[in-house]
Amino acid sequence: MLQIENLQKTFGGLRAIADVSAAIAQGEFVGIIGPNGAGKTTLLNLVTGYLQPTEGSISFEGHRIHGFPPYKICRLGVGRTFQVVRPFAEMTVEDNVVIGALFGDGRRVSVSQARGLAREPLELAGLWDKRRLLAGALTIGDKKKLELARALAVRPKLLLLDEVMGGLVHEDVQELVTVLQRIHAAGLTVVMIEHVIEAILELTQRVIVLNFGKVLFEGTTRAAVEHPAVIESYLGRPLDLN
Amino acid sequence: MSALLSIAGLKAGYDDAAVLNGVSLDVDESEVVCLLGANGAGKTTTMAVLSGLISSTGGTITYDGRDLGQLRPHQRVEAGIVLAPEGRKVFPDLTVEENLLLGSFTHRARSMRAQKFSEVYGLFPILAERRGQYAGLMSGGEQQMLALGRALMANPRLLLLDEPSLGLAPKIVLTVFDAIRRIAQSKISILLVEQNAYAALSVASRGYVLRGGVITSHGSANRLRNSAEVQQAFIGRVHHTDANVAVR
Amino acid sequence: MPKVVVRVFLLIASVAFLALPFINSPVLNDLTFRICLLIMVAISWNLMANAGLISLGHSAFWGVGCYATMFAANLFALPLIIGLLFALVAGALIGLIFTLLTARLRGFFFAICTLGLSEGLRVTSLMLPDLTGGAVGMFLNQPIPRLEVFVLAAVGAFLCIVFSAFLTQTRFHFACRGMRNHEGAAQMLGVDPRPYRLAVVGLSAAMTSYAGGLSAIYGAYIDPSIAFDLRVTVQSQIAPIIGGMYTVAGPIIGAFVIVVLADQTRVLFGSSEGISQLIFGIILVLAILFMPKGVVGLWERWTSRRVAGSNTPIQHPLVHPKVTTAERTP
Repeated sequence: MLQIENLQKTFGGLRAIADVSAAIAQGEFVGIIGPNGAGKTTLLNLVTGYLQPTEGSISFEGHRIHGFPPYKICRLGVGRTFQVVRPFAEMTVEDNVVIGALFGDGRRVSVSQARGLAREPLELAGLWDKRRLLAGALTIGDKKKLELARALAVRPKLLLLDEVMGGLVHEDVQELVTVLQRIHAAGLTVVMIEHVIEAILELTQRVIVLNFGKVLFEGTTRAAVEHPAVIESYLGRPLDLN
Repeated sequence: MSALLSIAGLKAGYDDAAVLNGVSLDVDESEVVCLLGANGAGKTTTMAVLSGLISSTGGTITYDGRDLGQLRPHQRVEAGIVLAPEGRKVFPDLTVEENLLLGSFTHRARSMRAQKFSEVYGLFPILAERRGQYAGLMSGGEQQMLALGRALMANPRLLLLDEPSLGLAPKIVLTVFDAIRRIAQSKISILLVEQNAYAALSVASRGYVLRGGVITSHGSANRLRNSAEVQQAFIGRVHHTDANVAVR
Repeated sequence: MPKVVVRVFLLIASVAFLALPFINSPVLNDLTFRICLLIMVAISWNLMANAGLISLGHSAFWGVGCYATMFAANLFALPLIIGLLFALVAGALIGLIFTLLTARLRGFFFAICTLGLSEGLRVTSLMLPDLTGGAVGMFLNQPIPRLEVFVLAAVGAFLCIVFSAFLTQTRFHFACRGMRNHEGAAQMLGVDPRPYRLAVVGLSAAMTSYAGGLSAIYGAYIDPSIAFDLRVTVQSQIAPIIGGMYTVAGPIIGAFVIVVLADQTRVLFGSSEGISQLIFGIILVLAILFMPKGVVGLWERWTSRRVAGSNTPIQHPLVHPKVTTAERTP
């Protein structure tokens, strides 16, 4: 579904992404892990059109998407959340999600239809009761849930999550894991950047490990967390997987 | 030994919304106390009230025998209460050294500036290495160390740490908490707010659980770590083998 | 307030508003005329601001409207209404071209360019005396069609109000607010910002040009410093800010307040030079300090306190765009 080939991105002298290739098949739930600064968010920005690759290609469902602006990529069926949350602070939670429902699909949807469509993402993210609050007044964890609800509102085929679990305690992580499992089971392909290893272990079948802009390791989740190079550069110490 | 910091019945909130509904906790001299709670429970609000950024609507805060009451934030820093805020908030357009220098702004800190610099660079050698680098270009872990270093430059007696592990790779979490342990050894009192309960309890001697704006349980770190409530709500099942600090 | 009452009130107000020009009182007509013009300008500025585009150059569109209408009247001896059509088109064109040229600019830089546009146009008209009369200016060489002018002002203001209220029900409004809050995030929700920028600036420019054209005919004389008067820029912002930015009623209330306040301070304190302006300025500063969300914000705060227990502010469609109301209890 998503094909990345020989992707490179250089900023001045800095090679943020150095020859990354990956393929995400439909229906997969893939994790991307790696140290801070490894290029995970840069990769996401390249895929979603906020950055242009210096070299290499990105295609979605067989069509080239690199070089497209973000809104076009969104309308093709890609949704994403932002690591640094970007809620529309002066609008209500509901309206934030309604925008996604209004514009994300490419089809023309009326405002009242969009309000109806916004209900499901809000409920999935557990924000239905808070839908009338101003987005700027939410706690950081709720803002992350809002990011998810908004991304879901565009009815994506591929969902890209950037550290959506950050700032949540175990209970809330579990809640979100359940939600993500449900939407994955319903057919959504998901790629998740995450530091909360618990979520990676529970949700992903396959993991790509990035370090210094290169793919350090790619394979099953289990193999990844047991790989010595991954432990050394990312986990620090081996995990106790009972 | 009377507590360095004593909060009783603290109430606070934003606009019309009450967040803290009567919070009471103590931090003794040279103690590390952690405050656990879910997202929205009021942990960051507590930090904001303690550092003077928002005013309380009820209750008292006693620090070193005095009522903190109306003290402005900069006066609190002068008194030795220093906050390392959630999300690091380093000054991105300034270098590492300039960030640290700004941490040493108060009178209390200025006189000890040289000593503090060597302390911080000793604790975080990577900051010494990168002292000329712009803070905005550093990775999350390095920024967190810079934020801690900056707080230390202010010569604190009570260090308030808000979510030091947020957004950090597991390996860096280990490093950061190692550093926190070493800071604690230098007799600074620490009040630590943290989502990663396992990491927090590994470094604290006592803890409180904040739910719905009130403290629902408290006790020694050991007791909390083994309590069913804390385990169910805050502690995941995935840990590092050395069990020093958990990866959630 | 029940919906029926609101509707009846609106109906009566609209009829009264449109009937005012026919009352033969020069003082009243002049007052309502100036209020109508400022309503149009305020609504137009608010429209741009709602999409995150802060304009420091509304005088540009005003001036374009002035000259377009004067040309139509003098050079082509066209009836006023055609002249105003010229103004609408000319203003919209200038707005569209400007937007295309500044497509990559955001926030502060966009604002500075709008200022550049208005000053640039002013200087240009100074330097083309064969076309514009230069500093000498242009006189209207027809008698001022007073009744027409007042009626067209009232109709224009009315249409602007209705249009801005209508817009708030549409997708367009959502796109603009998303862009205003965070354009990057809005893109990832499928919003292509380009057509909205063009539409917002084009419409906004057209409204202000129309108002400028009317003022040119009414004053019967323009020169570059009158047409591109920076005071238009200033008032175009103060009115919506005082009234309540991003709302429907805000620019209208603000326009009333500004015109009446300016008049009254002049009447009461006009004897000594400058005192009236000083007082006007002080009142504005105090207003911003104590009513940061404008009159509308103040009213919302006040009505929300009145509803005991619940913290739901009462949101009238009159006052606030018809979007989900924001509650304050988490």
